[in-house]
Parts: sequence; C-alpha cells; structure tokens
Amino acid sequence: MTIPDTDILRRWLLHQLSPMQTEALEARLFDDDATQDGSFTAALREAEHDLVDDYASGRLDADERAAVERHLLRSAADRSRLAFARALAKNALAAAHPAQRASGRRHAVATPQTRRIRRRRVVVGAALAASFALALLVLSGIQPGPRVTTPYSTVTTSTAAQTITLLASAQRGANEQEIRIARGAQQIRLQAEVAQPHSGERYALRIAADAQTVFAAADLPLRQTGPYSYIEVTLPVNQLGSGARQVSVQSQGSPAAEFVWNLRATLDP
Amino acid sequence: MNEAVSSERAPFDALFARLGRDEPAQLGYERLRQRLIQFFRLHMPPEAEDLADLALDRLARRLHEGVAVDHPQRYALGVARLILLEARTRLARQHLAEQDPTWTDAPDAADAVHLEAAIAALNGCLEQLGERARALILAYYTADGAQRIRTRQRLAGEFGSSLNALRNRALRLRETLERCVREQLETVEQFT
Repeated sequence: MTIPDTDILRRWLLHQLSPMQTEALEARLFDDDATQDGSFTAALREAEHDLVDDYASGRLDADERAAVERHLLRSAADRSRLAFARALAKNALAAAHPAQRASGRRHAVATPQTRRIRRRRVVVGAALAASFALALLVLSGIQPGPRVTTPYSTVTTSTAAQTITLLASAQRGANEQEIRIARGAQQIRLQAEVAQPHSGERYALRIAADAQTVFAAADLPLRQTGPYSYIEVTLPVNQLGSGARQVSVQSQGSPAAEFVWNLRATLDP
Repeated sequence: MNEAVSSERAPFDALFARLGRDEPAQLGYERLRQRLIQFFRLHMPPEAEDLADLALDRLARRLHEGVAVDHPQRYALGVARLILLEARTRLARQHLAEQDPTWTDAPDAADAVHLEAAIAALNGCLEQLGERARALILAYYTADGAQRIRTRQRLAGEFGSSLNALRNRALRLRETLERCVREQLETVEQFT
C-alpha cells in the first residue's frame, strides 16, 4: 500500500479533506499493511514538521496560517516546536548569506510621502530584505542567482524575478529613491510591509505613474516572515516600467489606513 | 503480589499477549500508541497523549474481559473514535474555548527575545551533532515547496539510503535537536 502524497497529508493535517477521505486515511493509519514499517506515520510526522516550518518561515497564506494555528499550534509543546522551527529558519538564512550580514552595504532608502497617515521609507538592505527575498525565492522554487550589488538595488535577483521590499519605518524625507531593475529580470516581486496588521484582513495595492494606474491588485492576504507582516504581488518588469512610481497599500477593511512609497525605477541597460 | 496491582496489570497482560502474537509485544504496543497519538493530534492536540493512553486502557480492558478482537489496531481506532466523541461532548458541555486564549499570532517583544534564545540554543545543540548529521538536518528541513522534494531525493542518494530510511533518520535527528533546544530554553527560563 502506498503512502498518500504530501499534498494529501498536509490537507489532512489542516482538516481540509472531506469526512470520507479523512475516515479512509484514519483507517489506513491503523492498517498494518500501511504502517508496519512505520513509513506512513513517519510521512505524516514529516508533513506536520514541514507545515510548522512553512509557518515559521512565512510561506503560508493567511488561510493556511489560521489552519495551522488552529490545529497544529495549540499547546505549550507546540509553541516549543514553533520556536525550534523559527530558530532553524533563521539558522538557514544566516548560513545561506553570511557575507550579507557582515557587509554593511549601502542600501536604497525610499522616503515615501503620506497623504494622510504617515510616511514610509523603502529600505533595501542586507539581512532584512534577504530574509524576505530568500524565503520567497525558495518558496517559488527559483534559485537565487547572482546578487546585484548596486547602491540602490534590491539584494537578490534570479534569472526570473527581482524582489523589491518596502518596509514600514521612521520618516526621513520626501525624496523618491531609485530602484534599479537588473538586466535580465523578467518579473518584479514586490513586498510591502504592513505595520499594524489585523489577522484576516485583506489589502489592495496600486502602482501609479503620474496618477495613472499601471498595476493594481486587491484581496491580498497578509503573509508573515518572522515578526514582519507584509503583502506581496508579482508583476512583469515591463508593466512596472521605468520612471517615477507611487506604490500605495490600503486595507480593504479600513480604507483610512493607507501607506505610500515613492520610487524611481530604472532599468539597467 | 499485591492484589490491587495484579488486577491493574491483568488487562495490560491481556493486551501484550494479543499484540505479541505477530511481533514483539512491547514494539507492537509502542507502535499502536504512536498511531493513537497521531490520530488524536489530528483532533485534540493538547490531549493527544492522555487520550491515546485512555484508548489503550479501554482496549486492554476489553481484551481482559474476553472480547474477541481479530484486529487490535482497527479495534483501537474504533475505541479512539468513541473517546473523541466523548471528549468533544465533554468540552462542549464545559464551554471551553478550543483555542488557548493566550495564544496569539501577533509578534511581540517577548517573541523576539525568545527567538534569540532559541537560535542560541539551536546553535549549541547543533554543535553537539556530528558534522554529517548537522549537514543532513540543515539541508533536509530548510528547503521548501518543490525544491524540498528534490533536495530530499538528492540527500537520499548522497547518503546511500532510501527516502523512507532517510526520513526516519531526519525525524530522529530533529526530535533529538528539539528536545535539546527545549531543555536549554527551560534551563534559561529557570534563571531569568
């Protein structure tokens, strides 16, 4: 008897299967043919660890996060497992980018204007952007490629996608900052931090050029990497284009809460 | 032998005798207990071990009473389902919240401090592993998505092992590390 595939095991753990499927899997759990060598229970335990690891690394969407919290992270022992998973994720990031932590490279700082609430600044920096970018590059199966190190560009690129991270931070001024799009990048993965997230809330993101919308997305779920909550969109590089761009993020539940960043995108020749 | 102790042991003697027909009794008991824990973790994680032990206790008593059980594992599943129903009814009557009210996904300062302590503990515990074991566990559990499967298949090739055998080895290593980190954190908490 074969072990159910990983997707089925994950959905079982998150209580996303039908009652009939659940009952059938439970019966298999107690069937010697399936579990005599312990492989079924081992696969199930591994699927549970992988879910907790994905939760710790911010690779789950809001619905999956809620399901993991509800079904897999309910006891003190579970919290201990989560602490372990978070430490393991941090350890992996540190091992993957030791140079970045020590480099002290210059970073692009975009200083957005707020219309009403507050200003935000784009900081494209070593460890922080790396933790967003690397986690998401790994999630998408894209291998991080050569790192483009210019004063104003993002930290990691791959042959397919370049990641731009917008952080919520203290005000610094109103000047827009330059974002250089690496040659060969075909897509932009844009992540915008949400400073005071509310669980279950959805967000809308808009990119404008001279008050004209060049990109918009709605109903975006909140993602989490460590202590940072953010939303994410992916768009083709040619849709972002080059020139002055204004990125705005708005909570769909509380439209008054809006965050704005001012950028200037430049395509590397 | 003390009569009270003897009467408590008798049902488990019956259970071991039944489980021992097809494999070493202790191994069969532990395997069955793990399956029951897995089952209850899917439904009531905080009480999984206690409910698993309750299921084993009831199975043992049925066998001691002379109930003919052809397949003890499947019988145990039936007992477990009944126990689950009872537990849910009990909770509903007690109006207990299903989620721990102190659990929140909102990060806070305490979480950040705890993470730093966990990272330090993990680094210390990793040092105690051999180099090969350390490399295995870091590679095995830090990929994700499609890359995760490919990484694990590659590791199985490198270690000259089947995927199942490697999975079991990685699980044991992880559990060893988790226990080490937990003990280190508990020690830190005692002195803070």
